[in-house]
Amino acid sequence: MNRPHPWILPVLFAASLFPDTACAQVQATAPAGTDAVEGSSVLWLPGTELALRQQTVVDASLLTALVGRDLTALSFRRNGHATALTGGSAHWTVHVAHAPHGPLQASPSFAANAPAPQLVFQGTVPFPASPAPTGPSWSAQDSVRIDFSLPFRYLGGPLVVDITGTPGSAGPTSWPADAVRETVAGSVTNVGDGCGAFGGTNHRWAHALAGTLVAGGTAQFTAWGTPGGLGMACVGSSAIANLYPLAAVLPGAAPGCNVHLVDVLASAAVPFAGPVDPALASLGGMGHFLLSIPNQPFALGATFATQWLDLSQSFATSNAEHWTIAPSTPALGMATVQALASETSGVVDPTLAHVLRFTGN
Amino acid sequence: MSQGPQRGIEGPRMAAPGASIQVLVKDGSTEVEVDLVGGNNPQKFPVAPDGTATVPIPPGSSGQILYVVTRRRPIPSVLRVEIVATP
Repeated sequence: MNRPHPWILPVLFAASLFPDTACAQVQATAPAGTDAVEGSSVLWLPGTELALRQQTVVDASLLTALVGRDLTALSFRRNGHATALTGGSAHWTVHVAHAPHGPLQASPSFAANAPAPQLVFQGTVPFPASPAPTGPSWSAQDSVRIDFSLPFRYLGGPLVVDITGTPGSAGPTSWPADAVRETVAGSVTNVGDGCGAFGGTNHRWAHALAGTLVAGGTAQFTAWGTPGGLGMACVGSSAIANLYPLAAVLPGAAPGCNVHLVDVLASAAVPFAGPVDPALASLGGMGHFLLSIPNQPFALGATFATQWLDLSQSFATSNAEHWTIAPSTPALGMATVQALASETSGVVDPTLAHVLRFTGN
Repeated sequence: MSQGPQRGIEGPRMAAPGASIQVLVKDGSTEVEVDLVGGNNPQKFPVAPDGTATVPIPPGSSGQILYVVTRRRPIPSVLRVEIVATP
């Protein structure tokens, strides 16, 4: 009887332990349940309409099928709205990294989310012409696939995909991608009116974006002020309409300009940009005040107030707003960090993320 | 029809006063702000989870340009809509 060669049995044993892993391709789509189901929302891709940087932080629970594998490709799917897309291109630089934290701890700092990024793709990305869809599809005309030039070995844990994109040679194009939005939001209530040149008849030129008042996200507060001028955003514990005239504490302040905040817990100088569009100078220039909301129990349902000053309008006061952080924590399992392509930090949204399909070997 | 920068937003851009337009908001905003030139009365409308916002065209308005603006970072986006009919 012939006896097997001494190393045959160990090889057969090893093969039985790892069936097919040497060559089988595995795909995982995040958020959960979206591989064959249209996502609830839409989100642009970097470089389609302007130069953007987007990071997506993905929770480990969505990637268990890929642990120990080499990630070799990443795909996006077009949004399902009933419009044909003409297609175009962008230039992308794509990094992938193990993230040091999950999506609810995502940082506005791109570097903090991806401390050891690996370049996996750099080049032109074509966005295909796509007819109005009849349903979610990963076909070539309905998706964008990035094949990695260097595979990324995924060891488990949170993952971050970091894409910087600029429009291609033909210029910006509209290719909105499928995304999922979890409907978790805070709430905002106006208190009193403002004064000055902007904000309509009641001069309500300050506004907190309720959809950004979420634990683990970047709360965004905006105001229309003097284009190119300087404003001040003040945060207090609460507000009462027309608490006292500003002139009572600031001689020379214009009549009709009132303080609504009962106290000031924090304040920040905020520049007002130029008009959103040259024809929109009458709206003023927009100022943004950003506040990271920690993913901590004390933040859930907490209420504060804001009021702005336009220093370039002799301290014109805005309306105030009470704002309340969403009482529950997002459970999407992903977070998107967005900024212009040239910036090193962005705004964190743990309620919105692209539908992403990862391919691993 | 007047078309401003289309960043972040697309959709039908004209409607009769009293009707509505629907826009697709692509920059992640959950609300849009709307005003008429000379109206000086900006109003805010929610964006549905699917990214669409329905903006009513005020009855009686004519020949004016309607602006739909998103406020969210990384950059505010604008869509201008010219109202081309009267009731």
